Amino acid sequence: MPSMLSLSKYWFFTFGIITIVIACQKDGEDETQYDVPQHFPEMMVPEDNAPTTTRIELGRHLFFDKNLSRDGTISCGSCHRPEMAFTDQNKLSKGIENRIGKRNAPTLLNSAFNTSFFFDGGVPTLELQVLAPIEEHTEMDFDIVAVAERLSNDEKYQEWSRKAYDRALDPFVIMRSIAAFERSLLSYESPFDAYYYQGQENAISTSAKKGWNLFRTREIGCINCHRPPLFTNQGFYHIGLTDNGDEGRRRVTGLEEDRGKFKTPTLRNLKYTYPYMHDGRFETLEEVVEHFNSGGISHPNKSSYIQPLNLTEEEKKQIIAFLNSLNDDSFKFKEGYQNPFQ
Amino acid sequence: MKIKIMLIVAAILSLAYSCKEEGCTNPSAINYNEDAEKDDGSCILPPPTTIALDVLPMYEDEVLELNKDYINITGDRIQFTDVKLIITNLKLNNQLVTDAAYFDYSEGTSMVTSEINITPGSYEGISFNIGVDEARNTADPAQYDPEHPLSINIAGNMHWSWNTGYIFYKIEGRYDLGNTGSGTPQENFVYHLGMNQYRKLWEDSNFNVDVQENETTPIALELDLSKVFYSETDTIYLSNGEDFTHTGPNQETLNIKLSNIFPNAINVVTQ
Repeated sequence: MPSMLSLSKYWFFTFGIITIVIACQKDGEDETQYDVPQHFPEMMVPEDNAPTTTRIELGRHLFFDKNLSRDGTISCGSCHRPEMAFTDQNKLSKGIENRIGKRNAPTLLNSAFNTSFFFDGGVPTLELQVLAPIEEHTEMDFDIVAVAERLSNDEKYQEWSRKAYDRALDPFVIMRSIAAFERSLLSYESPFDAYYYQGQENAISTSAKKGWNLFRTREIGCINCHRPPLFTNQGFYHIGLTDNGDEGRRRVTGLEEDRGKFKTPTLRNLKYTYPYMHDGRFETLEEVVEHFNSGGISHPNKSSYIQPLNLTEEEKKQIIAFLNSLNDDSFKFKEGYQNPFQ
Repeated sequence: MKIKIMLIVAAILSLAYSCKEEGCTNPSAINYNEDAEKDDGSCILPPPTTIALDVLPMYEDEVLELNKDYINITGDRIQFTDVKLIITNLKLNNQLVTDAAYFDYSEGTSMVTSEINITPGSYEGISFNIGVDEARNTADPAQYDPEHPLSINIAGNMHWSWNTGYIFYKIEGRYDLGNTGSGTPQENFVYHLGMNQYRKLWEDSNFNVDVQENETTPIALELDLSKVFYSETDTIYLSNGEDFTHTGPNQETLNIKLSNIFPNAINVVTQ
């Protein structure tokens, strides 16, 4: 029968071991959180892909790794360039061998909040989205199983993969880590954010304030689809654009009533995300505003929100001043957003 | 002193242990020795009780050969170059036997599942989905073990990434309209059918099989490719441009025809 003294020694010893075990656990050390501001909605993150520093860092390296394309010439970052708010400023994106894609590359900033992906919404999660550009003939034209095989001898990737997901680098890891990185790409520090959400009255100009009031009036109604704070409602609409042969949402649903409908894009960072629309047909915001002012073409699928607006020249300028207040330059300076291979 | 005592105890224990009778201690083994107290690693387990599902691609009465000329129901000369199929939720006697199987005819002359464990007994009725059930159709193909039939490693080329979902079956080949052209099929036909609305349940309630213990019982089905082009109510006309679908909305008529016709091309091989 041990004495009280020796019992207390046992407890002390046991406590010490438990403390060391906990302190040595890698998971806890690596956990992190996405930097979501209070005025943004809650970010939904899959249970098997909670953010850790290693997951995001592995994803960042894979995102900018040209080995993801068949001929090793392009990476995700070729069409989603950090300095261009993760777009490429081309009408249509270029894949390997200069193959021209079908649609304009969307910004990835705040894509964590999207409820579907691509202009037609055919993919439900950021993780699954990773597959499409890798496989698409006009993009990387490769195969994610082959990507994992190609990268299998990279010791750094394998070490990160084991630490991040407790398994060797495989499609599961590639999809999740790139998604984890993409979720970290946030933009919420525009002058409009300072004005509207932080009460800094002078953060935007008087003209921009007037533009904001026009933007949200019932008569003009931009806000019906471009809802703050993300400035998209994630819906699909025909906005009276002429048909360029892309059937839009119908490609996914098969419904005639979805022909020509495309997902509402965010209006944040338009300074960087030109040209505009699913096919990059408009170079300037003036052209975009003019399109909505005209009401576009007639079409049975056109949204009832799209009507001629009869805006004055002054009002058009005010709306554009407001749109420009949604530009946020801070993402350009965030180290964790940049290409690690440059 | 303490070390000496410990060494003596260890020696006694090891002596006692080594005196136990050795043999196979696993009651499931065919050489189970009920007197054995120490397992010597000699156990021989009986063979498992399994089924192996074979879908044999045929063209009418003969085994299909890829790249061989056939004349189809509408009189066109055709060749098949690729045939692939996914089935899910295979049930015998309304009991789930396996959750998925993938058949790739380009890999061999027959399409056989790996052996599937099953309880011995008599089973009546067989059914499965032609394609992937709705819950898993849009799920992540990288979530599975690499050996699973729906994993991206196995069925990656049966998965659409732009509109998340599996291709239920692929039938590809070449044709020569009316067998009056050059004589060599040169035009391509490509049928990739997927999407939830085109999935069909295949079932045969008259099917029965006795699964014997410790044996692999074959279940033989045939996929008659000659019947992929027609049924009692539908005909696919290559001459009418019905030579391509990726299950897009613009091919809806062909998608519906294929979806309706395809189950009729699968039959149980009568012994």
